[in-house]
Amino acid sequence: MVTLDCTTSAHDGVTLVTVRLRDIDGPTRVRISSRLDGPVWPPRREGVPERGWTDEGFDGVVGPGTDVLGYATPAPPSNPPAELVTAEPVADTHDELTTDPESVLRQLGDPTPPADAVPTGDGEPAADADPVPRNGHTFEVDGDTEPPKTATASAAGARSEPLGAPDRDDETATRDGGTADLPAAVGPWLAEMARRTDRAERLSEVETVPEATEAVRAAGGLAAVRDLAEADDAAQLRALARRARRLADRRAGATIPVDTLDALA
Amino acid sequence: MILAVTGGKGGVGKSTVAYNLAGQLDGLVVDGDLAMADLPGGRGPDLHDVLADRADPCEAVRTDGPVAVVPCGRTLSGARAADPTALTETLRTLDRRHRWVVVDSPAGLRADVGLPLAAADAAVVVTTPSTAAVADALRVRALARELDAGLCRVVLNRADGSSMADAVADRFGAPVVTVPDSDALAAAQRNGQPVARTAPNSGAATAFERLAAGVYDCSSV
Repeated sequence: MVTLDCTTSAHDGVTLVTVRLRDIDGPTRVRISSRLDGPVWPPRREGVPERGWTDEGFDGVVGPGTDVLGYATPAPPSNPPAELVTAEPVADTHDELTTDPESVLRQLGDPTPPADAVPTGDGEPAADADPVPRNGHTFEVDGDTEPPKTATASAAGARSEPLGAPDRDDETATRDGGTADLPAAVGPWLAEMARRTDRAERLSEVETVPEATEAVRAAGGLAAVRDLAEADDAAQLRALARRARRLADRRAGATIPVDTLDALA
Repeated sequence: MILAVTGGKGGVGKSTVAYNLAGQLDGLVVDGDLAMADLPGGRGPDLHDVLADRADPCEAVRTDGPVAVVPCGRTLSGARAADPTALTETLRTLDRRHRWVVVDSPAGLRADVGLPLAAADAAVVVTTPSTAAVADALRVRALARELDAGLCRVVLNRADGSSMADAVADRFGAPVVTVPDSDALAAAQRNGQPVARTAPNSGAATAFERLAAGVYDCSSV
């Protein structure tokens, strides 16, 4: 009879959950579901989630004896953080083939060159290289869930990303690198997003009634505040960032042989 | 049928063997070296584009040369934008259109070597007679076995005489095809030609005929 106990610890807005499974008689397929109110960030190797992890938790073969699993989530801790949904003995642990592409990548290592190695236009390695070790598509598969390191990395580093944690004392339009060097169609939209983010931050920080009154008035009334709260600006900005990064990779890879074309013309 | 041409050590002649084998089989050769392409390129979409979901696998097939090729891009940014796990499905798609899909694998033992092996029906391991190359080739053979790619033939490249062939066949547990060191072969590869076309009577051309016959045997088992 499998028993489960969990411990949690919270660091910088991320909850780490340790799940201990004991008294496993033989190889057992278990399904463990996270009960915390947030996405499951599974352990990854070479950027690929370890075998068995799903959006809800873990579904795989463990044991015999004792087994320990762990995951992270942005949700605050609560008790219990995870529950054992099912536990069924299985004949042996070798029922899962290792030839699926994700397993091969996990076992043998991702051959993708690191972002730092990709030259930028001026011949220098990328200075503001993607802070996430694996390129974007891994996270796209997971939807909009981002691993914890993205948040810390963009706050600490790349100011060129519109997602970076904003400073408080600058003017909205300039603190994320400004919009002057961006195309006409993109600049105003980003500037508007920066204004909305600013407004949202001010609203989230109010502590006293006069502050709240002032913040709501500045935001354009309660209806506007409600609209702002419901709009998924973050998802839109992230989608833009992913798309822009992919396009930038493509564009950087396309070298136009001007001299050759000139000679041929 | 998907054939992974692999070998562990760099410079043992994997690309030469893959290209000439595809030529003999009248098949398609895919340059699977995502970071350091070896086979002739040209203009148009390449494997990087396919793996980044920017082109259909069939769009990347070049048929204007003597051997049908899916070339691979040569830029690091292209390699970075490519999703290596998409290689499996790409090879399967090509396999539905082509009788023979020969994958030229990179050196090493990373996932870019493992993924073609995982998709492949059989593997051809290339080595030179040097001890280091044989040791690396044996490691790749172990990986191929783990990933269910049966070892079809071992190519003993740049080998003179057959004195080593029996010992190598013994170590690998598979038949060996010896390819002699050949200027004609090197020159053909430099010019993007199969040696059967530039020097059809050379020892190297005969060796690739034997290799192709061996691969036919494997496929009919």
